[in-house]
Amino acid sequence: MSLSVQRIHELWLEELQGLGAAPDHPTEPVKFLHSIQLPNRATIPRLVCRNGRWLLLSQERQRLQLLAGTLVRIRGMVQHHGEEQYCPWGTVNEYTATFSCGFAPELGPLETVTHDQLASETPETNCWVARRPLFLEPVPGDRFYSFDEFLVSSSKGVGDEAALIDILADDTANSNESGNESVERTECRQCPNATHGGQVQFSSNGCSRASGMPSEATTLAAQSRQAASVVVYTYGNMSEHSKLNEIVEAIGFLELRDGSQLSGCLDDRRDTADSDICTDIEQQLVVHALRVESAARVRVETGDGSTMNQIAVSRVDEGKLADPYWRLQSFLNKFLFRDRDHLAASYLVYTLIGSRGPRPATRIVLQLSLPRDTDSIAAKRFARRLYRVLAMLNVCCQRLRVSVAALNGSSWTPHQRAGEDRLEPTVLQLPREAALVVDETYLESSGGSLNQTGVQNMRTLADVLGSGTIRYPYAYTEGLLFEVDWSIVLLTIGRGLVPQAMLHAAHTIKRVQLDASVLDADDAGLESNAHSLRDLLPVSDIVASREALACIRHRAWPTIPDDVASFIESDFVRLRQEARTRCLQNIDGPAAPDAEALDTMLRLAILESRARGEHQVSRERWEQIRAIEQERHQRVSGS
Amino acid sequence: MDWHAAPVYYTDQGVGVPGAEEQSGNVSIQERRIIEFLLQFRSAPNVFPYRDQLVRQLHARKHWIQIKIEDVYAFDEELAGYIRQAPNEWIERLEQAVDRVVRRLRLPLDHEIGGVSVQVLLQSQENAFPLRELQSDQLGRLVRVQGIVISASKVRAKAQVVWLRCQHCDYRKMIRASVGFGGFQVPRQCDRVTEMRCPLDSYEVMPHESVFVDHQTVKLQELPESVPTGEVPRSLLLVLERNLIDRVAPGERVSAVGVYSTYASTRDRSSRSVAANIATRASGPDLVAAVRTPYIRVLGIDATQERRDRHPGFTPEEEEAMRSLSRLPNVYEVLAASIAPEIWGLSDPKRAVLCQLFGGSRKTLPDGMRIRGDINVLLLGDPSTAKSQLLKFAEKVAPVSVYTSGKGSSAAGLTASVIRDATHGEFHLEGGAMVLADGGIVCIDEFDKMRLADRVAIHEAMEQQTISIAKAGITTVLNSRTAVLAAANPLFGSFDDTRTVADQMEFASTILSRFDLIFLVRDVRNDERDRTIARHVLALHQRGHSLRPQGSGLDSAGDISDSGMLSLSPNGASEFTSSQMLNAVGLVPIDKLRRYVAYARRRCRPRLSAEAADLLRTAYVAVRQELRDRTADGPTPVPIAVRQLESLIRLTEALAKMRLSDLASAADAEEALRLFRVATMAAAHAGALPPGAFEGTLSGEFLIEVQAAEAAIRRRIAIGSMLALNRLVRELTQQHLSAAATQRAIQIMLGRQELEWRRQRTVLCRLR
Repeated sequence: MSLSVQRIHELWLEELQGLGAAPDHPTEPVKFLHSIQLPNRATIPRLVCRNGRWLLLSQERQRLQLLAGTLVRIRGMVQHHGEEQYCPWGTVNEYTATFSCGFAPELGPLETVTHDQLASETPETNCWVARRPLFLEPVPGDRFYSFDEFLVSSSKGVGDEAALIDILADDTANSNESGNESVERTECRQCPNATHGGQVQFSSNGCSRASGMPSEATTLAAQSRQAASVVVYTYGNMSEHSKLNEIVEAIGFLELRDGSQLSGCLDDRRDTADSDICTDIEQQLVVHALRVESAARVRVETGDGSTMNQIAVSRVDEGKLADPYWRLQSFLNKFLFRDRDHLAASYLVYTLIGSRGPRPATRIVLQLSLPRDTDSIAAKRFARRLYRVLAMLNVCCQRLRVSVAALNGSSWTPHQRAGEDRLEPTVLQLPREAALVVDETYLESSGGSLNQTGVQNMRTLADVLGSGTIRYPYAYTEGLLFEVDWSIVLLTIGRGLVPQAMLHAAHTIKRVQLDASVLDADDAGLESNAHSLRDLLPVSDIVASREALACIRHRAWPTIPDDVASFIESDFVRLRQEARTRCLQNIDGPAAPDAEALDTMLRLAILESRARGEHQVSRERWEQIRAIEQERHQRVSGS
Repeated sequence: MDWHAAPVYYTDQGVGVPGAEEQSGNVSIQERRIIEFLLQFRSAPNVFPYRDQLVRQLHARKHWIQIKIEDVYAFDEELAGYIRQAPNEWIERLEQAVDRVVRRLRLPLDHEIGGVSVQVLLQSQENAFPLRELQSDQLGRLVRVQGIVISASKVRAKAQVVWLRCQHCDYRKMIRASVGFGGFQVPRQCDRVTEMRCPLDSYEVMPHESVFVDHQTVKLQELPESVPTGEVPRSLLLVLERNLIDRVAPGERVSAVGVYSTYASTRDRSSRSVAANIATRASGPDLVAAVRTPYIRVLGIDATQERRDRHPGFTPEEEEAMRSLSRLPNVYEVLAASIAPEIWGLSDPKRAVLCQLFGGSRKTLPDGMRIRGDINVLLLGDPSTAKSQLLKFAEKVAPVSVYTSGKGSSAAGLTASVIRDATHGEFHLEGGAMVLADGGIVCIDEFDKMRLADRVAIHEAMEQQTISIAKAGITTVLNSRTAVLAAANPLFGSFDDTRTVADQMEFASTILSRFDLIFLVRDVRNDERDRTIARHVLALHQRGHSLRPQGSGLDSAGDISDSGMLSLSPNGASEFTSSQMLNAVGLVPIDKLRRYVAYARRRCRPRLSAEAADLLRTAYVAVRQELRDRTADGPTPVPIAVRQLESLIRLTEALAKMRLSDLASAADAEEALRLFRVATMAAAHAGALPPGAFEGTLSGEFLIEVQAAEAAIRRRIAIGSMLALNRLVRELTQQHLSAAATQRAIQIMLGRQELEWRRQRTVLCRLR
């Protein structure tokens, strides 16, 4: 029998009647709910956010109608914790007893029986099950239900090319696009004449359809809207481990509420082609959860019920990966830097594997600096490529476009919604291990003046870059302080605005000057051609690189043995001495390293050793890092 | 008559005579116990607080009485238990009992209070429940919670007793509304039993005969310090009734005692649950399946702290730990070592920042004039000497702080500006960094990059600690009782050994004199120092912290500064409590340091002892004499005037504050003088220091040669003209100046932007 709310209440009643003989051991609804056997995860329809709307997709990626009471699964970031509520279970009065396990009272029937029907023992009166709403937001940059799930099915040959095209489409749900660049077309292999984008619906043949009709709508990135949160009710202690900003997966029953709360999210830009899609989602989506798990613990399953290897989000069997560092670096070098910049690829790896770590901030913020004379369109194209590559490697990726208009537009910091006890989601509410691309290629050539919001946004960015913290303004507090553990990449043309504006964050920002050759001329063709993209980024490479990154991130932090420490100490003194001598003799050469430079080199040496799976930092690593730091400095000074 | 000796007999101890109802036995046993408590409870011999309070309140026409749960517990443990378990039921009994007591006391005001019952307010000292730990098992029980009031509704009238009238047969019926958020249900069918039944929905409410009470809802938010890291504060609704309304305002920290209850909010009712609600109500009032939202029906509320207090409440244990720390003989060294431990060296600037965090005592003279207690510090030095990091640390520790960069700060941004509202066209004041940091520290990085006009604008703020606005019809004075911690680079980016400090400081003496301490922070290069820095940075990466205490780094007073630093562990009787303030390596962690600073600033107002005052007076006279003797060498870059004497006093007081002492000792004065000498005095005399005084700088002989080469270059190349490098070197060599000295001179002049490279660094052009 398929699982339904009705069935759950029946099971509960059966359990209660079964316990009639043992009244000293009354069961608890929360334990009962935990004990319910769920069907195979893969067979449960998924709630997927597409272009600012939630759709229900079956295992075969067919779009299903949103019906109250459907068992669904949903993956998203916990954007906010709502206030606790209580649901009654086992209410008894003089004549009758109502049996409910307290689960989803809005959906489930109340079993009312008279005392005559009841066994001699009655459950405790007026008992309550606490429930807490979690507001789930779609994860930026992860347009699939789960990218890992997609990769698993792709690697088994059941992948959907349209889906790949879809993830390659720029995610601008929270960004402000302007100009021609905002228009982005993607093409489906099976339907070369049709264009699909954010509104692509999965269908059995892999091409996009909206209610059975090919969509003629052009994908406008600007059309992307911020999806309304889905409220997930967690019963009992189910949400204990669901921290704010964590990505979780919930399985539960769908409830549709009056859509008045959702109306604000649907704007008037809706075209006729998708009007029929909207009619059934103009309601607040609520999921009464039976299970809520951290996405990191969710096992990826295939349709036949077997469990696949967990990818990226969890510990990977290191033995299967020959050289994760090489794999990741070559992936970045090949697909992002066109095999022309090993140095930048290395620094990008350091950025991705860096973390707040066990010691003070073993992380770096990478500044990829394009030549000053870079064409604006080419720079934007590179920015998009960078974003896409990072989106494929990380659990979540956000692209933050720095421009005067964007800075002045709205606050980037998550803050309290006016007059409500509710966090307002913003672009900088991201989960752990997310990647953040701060993209300066959209800066207006004419400049402009920042208003109060702009200044505040710059301050927030300075804190994120400098100290790795972000403070959410909240009434009657000094702000809620969150430590962020994101991989941050700054993309600038020339020296860049952000690094110059944030003097006290400068010590964490490491600038790598890129050569114009990484912006190759055939980029434009590649970008608009889905076939090329498909060939350019084979699924096997993405899977391997994702695995490699996960593998490196789970490695232990290497230590610095005493003999290497003494060697580094002597080396530092020698470098300073040499620099002094050069200075006195007025000979050109690298500047004397200071304490900050030493700190940077030590961080990089630790990251390099970690990437290579070494337990200790060796002299070779130190010398290697010194050499690449020197190369980086030379590039910067030569620019 | 010796009437004192005669025995005194009491027949009626003011408890009155029981009323007829009580005598007839209509009063329950529970009520009798309450009456007994109200009349017989004594807080001291012959002191009956509740009886007295009742009389006092009624005379003042205040219809409420405050009862402490602890008193009930002391008088009748069982009774207190009942109240805790079923407060809704017992609070009614309490109020009935109070009414009986009022009648029994036969007060002359009886006729005036007729019909108005006395409200019982509960008070409790028991541990407050954290809002996020309130569970369903507490429903219906008495709880105490603490939090901040974030919103309060308007006062509304809520029906307590409702009179209904049947429009058909004129039958009247009374209904009692539920307490808190509970309402009442108007019966659809008339109750009168007659031959002909009244039609459905024949009842109407008679508002004039019904009884209403004042009702207010308040939203309480978790205390900021109770919110776990990475969580959003939780909030809870409170319902206040009758005499409790308008007692608290948004922003106040309150402690409330009440009944943890639930209500079915309309927001949560889907159509199905509402239908269920209606269907089930017919069979009994308890059978409601609607989802319920928790709230607290308040039975007593008190404001605990003043509004917006940033450092509320120090627990007795915490205070004891802080006092123990202050009693440590080396508390100054422990605190100084806890300032930015990740930065090696800068021992004296760190101590200056420490003094700044604590601050001196603010004084108001009899004529109303105020003398600031805040200490201003300027760090002037080479790049990459961790000045900015020190500023960031100070920002984190100070109770109120604003960090700003001089490069991006204008006078308006630092002080206050008049803004015109775009929509209404009205002007309003907007506080800048110095106004916002009132009562704390404003950290200004890149102070030298500020425009001169902007820098001048903060003169008033730094000395008078006010900001006057007279613009666009607004004339006002804003407080900016702020300490300024500024960091700046010398004129040419880094110190030039060949020039005096005066030449390298681009600050007017008016602004320099407003800084109590000015430190010259130099990037001295020698092997031993480089090695020490390397060890320090490596230790951070190897162990996560530096295990070695901070020693002499850049300062010349290392011996004094670092005395006792190697024995940081506390000793003696206070070891246990003071160790609560210290971490594993004997330093005070940043959060505890912030609390200690806040505690000292709030509790201590030290004054100079006679010895300390004598010491400072003598020292000041000596310094002035020394300056007079040096007048021949030219004016000093930093003027030493009465302001500097005030600075010394402030520093002495700040040092006493670190010990939580109300009296600044001679030792404090000596340390203040030392800091003053190594900082401001060193800066004042820096220009007069002989070449090579700083280790690692140019040797005296070579320096003279470089200066000669510099002069020769100026003579050879006129302003605006050019000369090939090779030719210049050759010509100067002919004048017996070495190539190295010539190259060094060229380098220095390039740094000063006197010279500039042309034609691919082969030709030099003189700019000025």
